[in-house]
Amino acid sequence: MIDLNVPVLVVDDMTTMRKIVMKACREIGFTQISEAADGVLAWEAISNAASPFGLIISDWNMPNCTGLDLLKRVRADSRFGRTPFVMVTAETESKQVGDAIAAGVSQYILKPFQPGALKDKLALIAPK
Amino acid sequence: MSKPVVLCCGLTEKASQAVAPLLAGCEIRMLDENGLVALVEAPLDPTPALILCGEMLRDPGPLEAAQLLRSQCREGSIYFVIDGLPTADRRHYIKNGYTDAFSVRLDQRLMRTAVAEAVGTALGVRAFRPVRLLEMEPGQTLPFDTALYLPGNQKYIRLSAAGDPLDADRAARLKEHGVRSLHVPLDQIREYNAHTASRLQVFAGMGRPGQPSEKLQGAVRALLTSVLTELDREGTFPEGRASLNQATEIVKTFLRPPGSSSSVYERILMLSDEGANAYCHSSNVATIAALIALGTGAANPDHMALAGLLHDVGLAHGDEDLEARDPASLSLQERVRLFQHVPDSLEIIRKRKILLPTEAARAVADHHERHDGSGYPDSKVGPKVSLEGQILGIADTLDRATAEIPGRTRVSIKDWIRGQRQGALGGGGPKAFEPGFLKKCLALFPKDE
Repeated sequence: MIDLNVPVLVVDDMTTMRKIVMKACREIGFTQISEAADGVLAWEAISNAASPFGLIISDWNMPNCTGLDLLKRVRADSRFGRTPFVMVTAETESKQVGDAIAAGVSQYILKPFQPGALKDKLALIAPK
Repeated sequence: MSKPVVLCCGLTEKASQAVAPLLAGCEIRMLDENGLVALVEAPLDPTPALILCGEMLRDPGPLEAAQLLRSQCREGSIYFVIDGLPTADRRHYIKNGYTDAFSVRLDQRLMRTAVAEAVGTALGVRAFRPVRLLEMEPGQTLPFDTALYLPGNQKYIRLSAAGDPLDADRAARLKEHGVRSLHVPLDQIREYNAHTASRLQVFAGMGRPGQPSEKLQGAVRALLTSVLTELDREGTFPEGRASLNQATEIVKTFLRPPGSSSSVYERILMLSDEGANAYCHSSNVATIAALIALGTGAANPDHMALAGLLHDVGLAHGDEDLEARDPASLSLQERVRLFQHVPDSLEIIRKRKILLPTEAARAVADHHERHDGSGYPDSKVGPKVSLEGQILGIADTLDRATAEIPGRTRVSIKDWIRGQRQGALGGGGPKAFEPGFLKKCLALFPKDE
């Protein structure tokens, strides 16, 4: 399981979905939780963070920069190559799941999800 | 006993009027957008019997609301009800958390059934599904209740109880009643599916390899007729869709009886149905192809069902509508993409290490080849087009031609069958399928009255 003291970034263009994911994170025990409304804003937050994020939880379908594009940017930067990245999406097409795996996603959660599902998935991610 | 709660959010006036008569005996609670957002912090209490959302939702919008509600209400029925025509594919709504999506204009009957089932379950009233029973013999027992629907006073009366042995008189009475009047309780529909599949097994055991018994042909005809007749009834396409889902369950149970090890077919079917009882082209083609194989004895139904599920995996994401379009309207690039989907499907199957029986691979390879050489990708002619490919081609053509696709007039099943019969029997014109074989297949379809 990931260290609960690391800063977490929640990325989703839907306000309520961000709130749901952030609430689930709080319930798990994370205390430093930030949010971003799309991939561009998320990349700004990630690359400028004083203390690097220890977990990124991102939606797939977003305007400007999709979750997959964000994942590729994160993985392409050696500073964040091993940062746990969880994709939260309604996309179940095997091709898309395959694309996310190929791009280096750490875990994949299907929307709509129950709060417990996030905890279960995070438990599967090895600490850095 | 407290009344079951129905939660309504964002319904238009017209949608509210359409559902109101169905909610008698329930406590209706309206939830505005602020109330929805508040659910993030305070879960639903009590859990509603039914949630109805509409197109008036703005912030959160309908899809966001579905995701939010589904995260709070894992098993409950959440329906999206709109006034006009849907702006997105029904599967898109289901994927985001709705149990189903209905257009008041198009899906009135299906919506009424779904809402009545959810409310009926909450009120402790039994809901029923229309069915067709395959041929029965006196002395046989049915593992489910049967009821007759009396449309005059909108009531169900019991005809037989689960476990009752059927005497000759009752067996004859059941036989008289078609799919529109005979019903089985919703909570016993699995027993009905398993029973129907076991009857098919019995009939399949009566014939010889390649020569199905008359009883089997009759049973397949009965199943296809009930599905296709429902599909064709004016304004009841969604009921036909439900009927097709039912046939899929029967074929699934026939191919893999309970207790046997799971097959590739079953696993793929589970994937394609994940989270939704969706209208799905691949599973429809699989069901129809398996039934044609069963009724003609020309191929292994298991292999045909598998081929049906996999036949279009080569269509890239977003390209699905290419097949639905008029070939003349396709650009050169689109035509190349369309033609390429057949070898692409086989390549994907090979790469994913799916062990596809030769017969099923042949079906996938040939499903767009045509007897008169007008097909693709290899423009095979005459006997070079395999029987398996023709079965899959017939099932694929039937489902595509008769599907409801926005902006296109749906061909009725009756017209499709009539057109194919004329093609098979008439002289001169081009022949998509080998006439003798097509005639054998069409004998399994509803008679042209």
